[in-house]
Amino acid sequence: MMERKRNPRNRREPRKHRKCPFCANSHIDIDYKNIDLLKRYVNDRGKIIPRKNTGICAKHQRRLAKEIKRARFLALIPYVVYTYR
Amino acid sequence: MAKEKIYELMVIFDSQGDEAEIHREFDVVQSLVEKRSTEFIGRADWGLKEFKYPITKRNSGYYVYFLFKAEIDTPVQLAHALKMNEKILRHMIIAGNSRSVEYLNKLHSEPIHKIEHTEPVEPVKEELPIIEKAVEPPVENETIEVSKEEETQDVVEPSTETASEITSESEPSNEPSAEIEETVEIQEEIKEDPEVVREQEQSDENNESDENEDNNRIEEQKEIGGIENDGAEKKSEE
Ligand SMILES: [Zn+2]
Repeated sequence: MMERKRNPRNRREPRKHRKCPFCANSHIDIDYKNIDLLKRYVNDRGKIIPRKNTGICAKHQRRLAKEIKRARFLALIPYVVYTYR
Repeated sequence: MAKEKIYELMVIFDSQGDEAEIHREFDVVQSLVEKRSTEFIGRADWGLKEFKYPITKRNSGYYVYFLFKAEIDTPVQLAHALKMNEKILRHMIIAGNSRSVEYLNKLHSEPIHKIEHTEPVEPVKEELPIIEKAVEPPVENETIEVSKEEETQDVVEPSTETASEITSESEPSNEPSAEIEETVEIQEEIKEDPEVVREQEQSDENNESDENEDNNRIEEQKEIGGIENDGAEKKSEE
């Protein structure tokens, strides 16, 4: 019946190219002990933010994911954050 | 002669019971590590920390970090010994590197709590020449500044895509206020993502799959942990 109209505001905009911040300064160590750093790459539900949204390169995203999982295991950051609506 | 490696060990001690007794337990574990390692490099007490999720019905525990050199078959033996200890809620042994030694040296020059909450005084001075312009950089800000610089560079660079130029041109006005905006921007992007908007209509299915994903992730973590965690994980499930 009702055909779903495409909202022009929902169209995918071209992503701006960002360089990987960890490639740019190599002295930043991605480490499970550096919780403040890891927290910024996890969303409010505790999920790892995909790299297409953060502009991190594949190599560093792998490393980041690994360290986030280590931090989760040690209860330094949560596995899941339940948000009630 | 077996191969020698640097290892990091993080132990979470039960916070219930006599405090002095728990601190004595730290030394017990240290002597255990010293006995089995070829070279004991150091130890750092993180102190009492709140867990982000309960571990064996506890909400907080004492975190102690050990760094040592050992032969490659030691971690397995050590993990077995640590599992026997009832005061230990969880432990993790991973391969370390020169960075972990640096980390420990940094900690010993300043007490841990100072490094976590304010900028460390001396270590920052060492890093200043690298960052050049940052006056008071806690570790967080460094990456953000970099990404800011790059955004401005993007604007300057002549790009063939006209659409992206327009979007990037409108941005610099947002830039001056730093850190918070950057993180907000990332989250907004996710919300605005058309895929996400579309998928919200099928939210029921989505939530289920989300939960599954998270469960999977926990299981994944178990596998990744390997020797490090399996015992402790089982405990927490009980
Ligand atoms: Zn990178």
